[in-house]
Amino acid sequence: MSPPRLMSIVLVSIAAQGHGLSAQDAGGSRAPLELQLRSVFRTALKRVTPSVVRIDTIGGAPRVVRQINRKQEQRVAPSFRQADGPTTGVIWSADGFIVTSSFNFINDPMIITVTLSDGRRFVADLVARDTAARLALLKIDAEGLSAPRWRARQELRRGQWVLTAGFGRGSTAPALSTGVISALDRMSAVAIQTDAKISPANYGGPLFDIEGRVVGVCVPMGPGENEIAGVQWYDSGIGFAVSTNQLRIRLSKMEDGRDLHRGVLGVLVDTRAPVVGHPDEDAGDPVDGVRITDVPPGPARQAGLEVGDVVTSIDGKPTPRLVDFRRALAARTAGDVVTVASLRDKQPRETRIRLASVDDVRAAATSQAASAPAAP
Amino acid sequence: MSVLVCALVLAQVTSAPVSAALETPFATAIRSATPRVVKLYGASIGREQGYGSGILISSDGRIVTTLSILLESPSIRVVLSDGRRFAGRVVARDARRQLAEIRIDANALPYFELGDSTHLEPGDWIISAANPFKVAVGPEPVSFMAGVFSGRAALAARRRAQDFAYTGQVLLTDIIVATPGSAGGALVDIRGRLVGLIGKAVIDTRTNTWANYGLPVEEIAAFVNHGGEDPRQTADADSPSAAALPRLGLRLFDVGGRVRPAYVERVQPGSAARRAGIRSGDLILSVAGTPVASCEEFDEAMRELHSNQSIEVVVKRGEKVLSMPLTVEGGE
Repeated sequence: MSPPRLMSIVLVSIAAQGHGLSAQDAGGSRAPLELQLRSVFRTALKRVTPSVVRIDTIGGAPRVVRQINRKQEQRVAPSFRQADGPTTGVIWSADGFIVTSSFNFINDPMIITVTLSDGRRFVADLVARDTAARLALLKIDAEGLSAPRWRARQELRRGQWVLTAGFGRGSTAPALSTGVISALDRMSAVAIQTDAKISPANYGGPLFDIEGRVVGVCVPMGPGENEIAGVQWYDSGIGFAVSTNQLRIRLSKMEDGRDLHRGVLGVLVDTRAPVVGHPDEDAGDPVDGVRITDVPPGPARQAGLEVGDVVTSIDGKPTPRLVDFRRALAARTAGDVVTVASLRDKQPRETRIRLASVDDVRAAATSQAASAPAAP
Repeated sequence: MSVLVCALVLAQVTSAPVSAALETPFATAIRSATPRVVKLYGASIGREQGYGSGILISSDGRIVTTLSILLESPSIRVVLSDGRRFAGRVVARDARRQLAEIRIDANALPYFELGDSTHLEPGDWIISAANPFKVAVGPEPVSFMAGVFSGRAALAARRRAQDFAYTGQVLLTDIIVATPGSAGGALVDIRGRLVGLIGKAVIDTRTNTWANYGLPVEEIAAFVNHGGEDPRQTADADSPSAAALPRLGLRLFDVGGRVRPAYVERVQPGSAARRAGIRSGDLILSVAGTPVASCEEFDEAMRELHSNQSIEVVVKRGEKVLSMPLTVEGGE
């Protein structure tokens, strides 16, 4: 669609509203508007399609099963088979990087192929995975690929139309789902939330606007830490896509083969956010920060943080609430060094801490327990 | 409307707001609903804290939500869209409509006008504003979804083994709102006017699927306009249990299952039921003129009574139908 034609559609819709009428009051003007909206959806899909790839996998670890005895094995949740069918990816760079969801690669497939919209098919390498944002980066040996236009998080508005497209249903062209942006900055500001149906049918595929600009890559997200958390919400109107801003930060780290994991300080914290009309008996002085309640063996303990310290900012971002604390950490990954500002006995301190992965912290706790004397 | 007119004027000057109108037709609705929907946290269900949504209906802190387990807590935490947290208390309940009113001590809050939903026609846009799966935390706005108004229907529905108490017409939508945490959230029209309150998640017994629906705004108005004055429907936050309900002094066989006829298991000595001559083994057919076909319908009929009211209870004993006049006992 050419820009002038898009403009005329827009003016029709504005004219209907400008007469003091909503679409439903305007009667006769509604049908044309909705017909035109349909053509906008079609155009958006056409525009993004050259940048959407189909990914097929061959072999790999079997699906998750539990051996009950020699004859019986019991399937462990989820009950559907993972990463068996075709999945979806988005061209990240003209020189062959493809971004998709790590959900599609849980079983470490032996062979991965990528089929472009023009039908060319390539063997792909799995470059790196991001277990926090559920992303995976693939590389094919190709040049001059058609990367999509990207749209930054700051340009997005709640309630705007967004679309997804994916190959998970086995189609040869990507299958479409539409919806609106339900919320921005979800999941510690890593993801955009949409009511378009996000499921294994389009994990790894693009979330894009009505002009075909990609606003995120669809991933499963939800409560919990395990590799399939969030899948249980699929097709429920609660879907997530990693924003383009986060893609840039994360994929640039992954391009040299580094796997990304959620980074943690290794502390347990408490918040003292006030409840209006409900005085907190033991609050003491209100503090704009999160209070450390435990420091198990790990990076924070090595750096000298103590129980009772109040973290007031991370990397210069104030952390008055737990949600701010989580967002500041979610912006970084394990291995990154963060600057933690804290208060101890009202005295400000500043500490540089290298974030660990959850597995690292668990391992540290286990080795501590193993080496501890039997009696405390 | 002034916003739309502004958009029209700007459209003639610059192209940016024009494309916003096509791209984000729900902006007005979302702007309206955002500060008027609250996040609720209350009593625990198993290990997990109960959570849900609610709507502000007055500037001084009146909130309406659906009846749920989360209300069975001495203090309910109410989180506004600006992140402020309040301690809320339940001031009224309506078992038939499955609604409750919560109060917080606040003022100058934005709130929904309780208008009407009669202008809705199937196919009109509907926008939901609620906190499904408690995805929104702290000061984050609730989640918005867009869909269409599907039509009106009287639901035949159940929640686990219990029949859904509300038998009036509900607003059906294709938005998936039968999700944990969504109940009590707002359904608004394209202009952001409240048209319904998202109902608690129930299974439609005709299709055996989750029902996505809202209680019409008219029912919310009817509840708040005399719910607080009517002692039958009011329970103080200090005694949230069924202790205040009117009673006859009998217990029914509660064997569970889909259909539970209202057989009397036991009659308390000295109770109104005993004096009237009701015996264990009687099947209750009606209470105060309301036909009763199940334990749930008996409970529902009881909620419509008040203490010292003179009524007739009709029972089936053997092959006989007997009418028993009696006086209802007060709860407290």
